[in-house]
Amino acid sequence: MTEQEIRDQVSAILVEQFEIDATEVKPQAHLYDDLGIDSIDAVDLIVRLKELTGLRIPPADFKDVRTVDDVVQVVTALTANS
Amino acid sequence: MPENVTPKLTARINRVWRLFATALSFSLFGAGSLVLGIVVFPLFWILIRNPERRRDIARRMVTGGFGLFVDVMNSLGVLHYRITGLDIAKSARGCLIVANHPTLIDVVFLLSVFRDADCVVKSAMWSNPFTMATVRSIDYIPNEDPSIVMAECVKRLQAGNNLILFPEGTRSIPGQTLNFGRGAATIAVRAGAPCLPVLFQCTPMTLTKSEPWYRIPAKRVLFEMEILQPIPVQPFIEASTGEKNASLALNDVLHDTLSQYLEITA
Repeated sequence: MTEQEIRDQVSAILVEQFEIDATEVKPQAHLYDDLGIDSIDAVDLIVRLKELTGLRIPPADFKDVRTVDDVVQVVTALTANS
Repeated sequence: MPENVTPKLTARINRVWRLFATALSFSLFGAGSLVLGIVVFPLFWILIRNPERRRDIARRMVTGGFGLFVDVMNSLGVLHYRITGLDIAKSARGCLIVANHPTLIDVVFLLSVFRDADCVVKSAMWSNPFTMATVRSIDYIPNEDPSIVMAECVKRLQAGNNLILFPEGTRSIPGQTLNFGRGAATIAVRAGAPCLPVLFQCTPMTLTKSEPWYRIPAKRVLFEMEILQPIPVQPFIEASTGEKNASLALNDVLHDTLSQYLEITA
């Protein structure tokens, strides 16, 4: 998967599963402050990403994730390593 | 000699006795846990091949042991206790037991009453030689990847087990409002499980997160555990759009149900 494909997938999850307005999903948007994603949502987000990518995503990798772009970067790095 | 010396002296002797009795109680607890952990439960693991039977006996022993510990502390004068709502506890099936968490020994009281309850405990206990046989025999849920923990909690509730969770995630800060994460409420909503709120009150306050066990309170502690009426989840699911809103609304009600009885000073 390319970075752009991952970016599209992440946006799609945020819009469809978390009912966030597509115009708000920008790379620098903060998941918690701007998009209202709380820790339980974050758990569900990781589950969805696992299902979509088939990757094993250790929760610890998401510890420093703050923005939409951070999510994309973590998943991109995991894809590159696998 | 001033008149108030004798009561003061009595109070002092009582305090020294309670320090000794607390140390003795905790030593007995430690020794009991050790014998169960490295002798009894490893033998169970070898001798009882049926996991359900092993689990059932292990849970019975923990409930009996914790009940004994509570009674020892009561007999030695460390604390008094009062438990109300036992009839509600007896008929609870597939309930999420949601409690506030003022002290170190809340779970001891809970497990002395709810024999068949599941708990989520530190996953390191599965590899620690002193605790591995215990947690494996008793089949608690290891706290590791949160998505797996949540799914397992839902599964256990749907199978009809009671499950104990502290929505504060750690012990309360005395005098402050309770801080509930919505994880417990989310699990209840996903499982469609009724919540059983359990209120703990401890006066004077002791065994909090910031105090060592040997900081003995001025007088004998009264420990109260009140099992409140169950709260069904279905109305929250019907009244809310989406699982997140249902769990937020349920979380607010659980929080307010338990908070209303607590004295908030800060």
